[in-house]
Amino acid sequence: MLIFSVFKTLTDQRVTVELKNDLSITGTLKSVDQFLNIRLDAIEVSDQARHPHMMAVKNCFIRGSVVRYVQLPAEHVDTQLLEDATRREAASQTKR
Amino acid sequence: MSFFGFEQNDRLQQEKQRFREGKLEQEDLAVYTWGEDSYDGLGDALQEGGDELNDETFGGTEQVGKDFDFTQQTLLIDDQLEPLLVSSDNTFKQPFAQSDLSRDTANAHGTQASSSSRPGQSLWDEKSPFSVLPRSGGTSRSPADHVRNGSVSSSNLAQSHSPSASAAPQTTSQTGVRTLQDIEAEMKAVAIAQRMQNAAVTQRQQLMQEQQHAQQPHHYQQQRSAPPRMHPQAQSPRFHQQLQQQQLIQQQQLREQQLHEQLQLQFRQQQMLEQERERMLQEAQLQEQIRERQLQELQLQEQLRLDQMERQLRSQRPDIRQHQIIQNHQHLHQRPSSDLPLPGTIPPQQLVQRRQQSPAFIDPHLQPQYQQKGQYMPQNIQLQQRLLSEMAQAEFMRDMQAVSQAEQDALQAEAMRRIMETERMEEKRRRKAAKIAHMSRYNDLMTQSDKDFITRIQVSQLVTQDPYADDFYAQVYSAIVRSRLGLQPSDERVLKFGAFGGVGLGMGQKGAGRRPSAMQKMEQQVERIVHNARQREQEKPVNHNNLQGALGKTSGRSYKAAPRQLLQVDSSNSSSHAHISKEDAIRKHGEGAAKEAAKIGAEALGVTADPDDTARRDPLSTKEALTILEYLYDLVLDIEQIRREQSGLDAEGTEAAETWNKRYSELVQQLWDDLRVMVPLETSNPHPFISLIAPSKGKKLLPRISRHLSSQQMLTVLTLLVACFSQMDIVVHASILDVPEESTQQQDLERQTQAFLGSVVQSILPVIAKAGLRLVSGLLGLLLERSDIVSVTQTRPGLAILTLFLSRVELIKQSMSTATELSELPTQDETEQCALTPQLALPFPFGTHCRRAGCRPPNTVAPTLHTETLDQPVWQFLAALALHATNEQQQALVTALREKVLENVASANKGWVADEDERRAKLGNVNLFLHALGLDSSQISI
Amino acid sequence: MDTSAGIQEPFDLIRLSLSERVFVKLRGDRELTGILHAYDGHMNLILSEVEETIMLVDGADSGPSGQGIVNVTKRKMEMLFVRGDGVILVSPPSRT
Repeated sequence: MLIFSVFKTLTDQRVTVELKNDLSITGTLKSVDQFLNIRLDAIEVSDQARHPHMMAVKNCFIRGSVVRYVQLPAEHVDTQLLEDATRREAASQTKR
Repeated sequence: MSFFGFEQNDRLQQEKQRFREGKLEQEDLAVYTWGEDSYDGLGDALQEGGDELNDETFGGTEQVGKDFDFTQQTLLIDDQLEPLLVSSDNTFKQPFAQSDLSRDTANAHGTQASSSSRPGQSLWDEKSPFSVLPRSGGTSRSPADHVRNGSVSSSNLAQSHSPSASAAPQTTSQTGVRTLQDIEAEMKAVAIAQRMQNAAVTQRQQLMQEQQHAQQPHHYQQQRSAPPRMHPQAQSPRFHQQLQQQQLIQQQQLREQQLHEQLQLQFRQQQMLEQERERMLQEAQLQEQIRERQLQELQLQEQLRLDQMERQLRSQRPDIRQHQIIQNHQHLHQRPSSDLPLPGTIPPQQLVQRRQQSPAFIDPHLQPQYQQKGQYMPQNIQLQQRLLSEMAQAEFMRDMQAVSQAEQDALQAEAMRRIMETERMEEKRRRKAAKIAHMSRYNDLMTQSDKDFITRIQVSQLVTQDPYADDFYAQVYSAIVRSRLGLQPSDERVLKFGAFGGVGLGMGQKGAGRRPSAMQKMEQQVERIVHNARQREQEKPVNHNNLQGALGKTSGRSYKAAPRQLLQVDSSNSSSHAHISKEDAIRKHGEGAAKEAAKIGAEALGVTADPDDTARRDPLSTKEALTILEYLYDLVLDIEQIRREQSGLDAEGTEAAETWNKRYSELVQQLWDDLRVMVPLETSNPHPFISLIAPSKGKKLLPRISRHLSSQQMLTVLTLLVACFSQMDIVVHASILDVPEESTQQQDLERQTQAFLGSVVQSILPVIAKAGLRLVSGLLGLLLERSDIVSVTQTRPGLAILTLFLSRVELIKQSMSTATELSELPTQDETEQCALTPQLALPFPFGTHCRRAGCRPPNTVAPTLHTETLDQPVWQFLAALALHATNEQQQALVTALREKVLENVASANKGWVADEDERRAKLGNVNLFLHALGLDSSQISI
Repeated sequence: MDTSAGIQEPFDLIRLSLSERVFVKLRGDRELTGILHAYDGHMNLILSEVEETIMLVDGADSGPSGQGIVNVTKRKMEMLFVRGDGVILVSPPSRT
């Protein structure tokens, strides 16, 4: 839920999703769910030449499991808060 | 054999006989002996007969169905290719990929044709079925054969008319090959005749009766002359195919014969040129022994007949010319062969036509010719109307031209443009509509309630007991963002679902578009879903137990999430962990020495603790420090949590407030203890507290703790920090930062330094800001005593803290001069301390500062804005120092820094800088120092 | 308070590295170093100041030493979410 919570705060930000097949898609994060499935708008594929089939695609829904990385805008991440949230979650996990 | 309508074995026998008698020399044809060995002569022994029934079996003269088009066509081509090939000495390119073998055969055949009196005869001696293939249907049968066989009779007309007969190679020189046109003409004739037949069925029947006697032998002859013998290969499908082809040819021949009958019928019916035709027929009969002439004649005959036919047709329909004009293109193909082209120059149109032609093919152009007789008038009217309209248009155009050529052109262009525009728009609109239609295929596949249902299911998965805790980051982050934006934090960011918790909405954009009532409705429904799910979960264990093991027990332990535990260590015995036992020891000791440390802290004047009282310990390892820090963070989070709870507690009874206070102070005490500030200074090097603030998260912890600690406690922290200043990583390794080359170590140190300046210094700033002169002097003294002041001042943290102290002293000095009359007047003691302060500066090695400030090796790092910003604290410190310096000290400072100051000013004034920012930074730095001396960079002239 | 109570499960060790630089080994011959800001039970991570190292081994079997030429590609990212299913190990960086 922590990461889901983080992604919720990043809606409408530009993120770069790198898939496990090395496809990199930059787009505006429109929504995310608890499986970290991601919906992107106004996408750009970083290596157009290698993935010409993506040229016409303007938005996409990415299944969470195929994601390797998501590059986030650092200015929109509060690292201190993030660490606290992680500690809270870790604490609540051990309690259970 | 004869069952298939092929040659009877008497002829085969004949050929065989001839072969055995050594007449081989007659055949300069290459003999292909493969397949010969396998011929067992079984075919010779076959009983032949009953050929009369062939017609019955194969439908006789009946029209062949369309299904045979393909084979027929192939056959036709084969029929004609062969002679063509021979005649033109292989200059004709074969459209079919004939094997070399068959090609050779053809060549051989050609050579034989010139030498042998019975051309094509030898072909039948060949055992290979391939030898049969290209001339199937007796293509190369010569009339001589017929004569010898005695089977040629009154059917000569038909026979001679068949393509096979006329295509014989001998005829090439005199009459030319029977060309495509001929065949075409024949085909057309067939079609015409068929139609004629329809028109005059009765006459045809009559003729049939008349010619029955002639037909019958003809059939017989055809069957007899059919080539192949029974080979072992005869069973192959290919062979059967061939047989089929031959049958088809027979049928075609029959039809051709029929055509002639019909033609005759027609002629007779019209009573035109009857005698001439009869004469020709007789002539043909007479010439049957002289093949060349016969063929020539027959061709002529054919042409004549067709000419006649056309003439006749025209006479019947005087309007045919007109009709042909209308259907000119179509008629081009239909034109009779009266204008026969030379052999070898086949017009492509006719080629096309030929390809289209098959016996079953009903000429679509001819048919209308007959049928259109009645329809013609309307068509003519249509034509007239069209002409009229064209004329009218032309007239209109003339009128237009009369107005103005240019104008009209413009108008036309405009009109064209508009039309194009409209077309484009229309195209666009159409494409759009198509796209919408394409996309809207799935419209209303799900109703709104379906969608809502799915949303509810999804939301129900997110429902938790504590939506604030589980969505902590998003909740707090959005709160921070909102407070930064100055928004009121009133709007709810959590969907509450009764007693079951809720769903964090994060930034809260989700529900923005929804009506409140819809949200409420959804809340209720989600609540129900969650409630039901809970109930099911409660019921589940009962069912689960009932079913457990019903399918047998699973072996192994794969269902357990954890990996197999190899080491059985009693986790309750904490002493097994080295670091923890050590930790405990430190803790115990720490408690014992608490009073001692407290005393030190209280004195806060840099008096060191007695070294003899404390046992020396190993410093905390990184892992220990991190473990403690995480525990501290837990405490801080707890404290922060109960601080938040406090806000709602104010209005309640004092009892609750008391409990809260008790708990809070407990937590804070725990926090204080675990900070290990009170551990004696000499316990370890570095001191445990210094170890704790070594990681960046330790440094970041300080500002968060300072809120909960008393000022006295914070003062103790500050004292400890100053006392152990040189123990810190960032001071010890500070020289790494001066190395120009970049490394991860440097990066990390930079990060730590920033964290120190940002967190630690910030947290002690309020303490220093309130500190008296006595305290500051004491701390300075402590720093000087316990640390190597030279190395400390060469670090950014050291400079920062020294500058802090010096500026605090300056502030106190100023307040002294301004507030002399007030009660806050510093005591005499403090004034003395103040006077002492400059003395501290005396041992300062200005040279090193100078080097630090400006004398970076120019070859390594180009002077940039970045280095100037880095130098700023140095200049600040120098300025602070200059303020407190005596005259002699100031002179010494200026002497040491003179070069650097001049260089900075010169480079700023003479434009040796990258941009305006850097220039301003350089001058600002110099001015910081010069202003402290009561000077300005503008006073310096170079 | 006994600080040993803090370490009960492997995730508690990861927690120690919160806000610290960590080394992460990933599937597909990838390695990361970065400052750990968040993790969860799936080993999903959020790192900052990330340097990714991708190792491409050419001709692994060739050569007498049995080692192929290793092409190393590095890149840096400011803030990165790493999906947990690709994580092999998380450790503090080796102290050099």
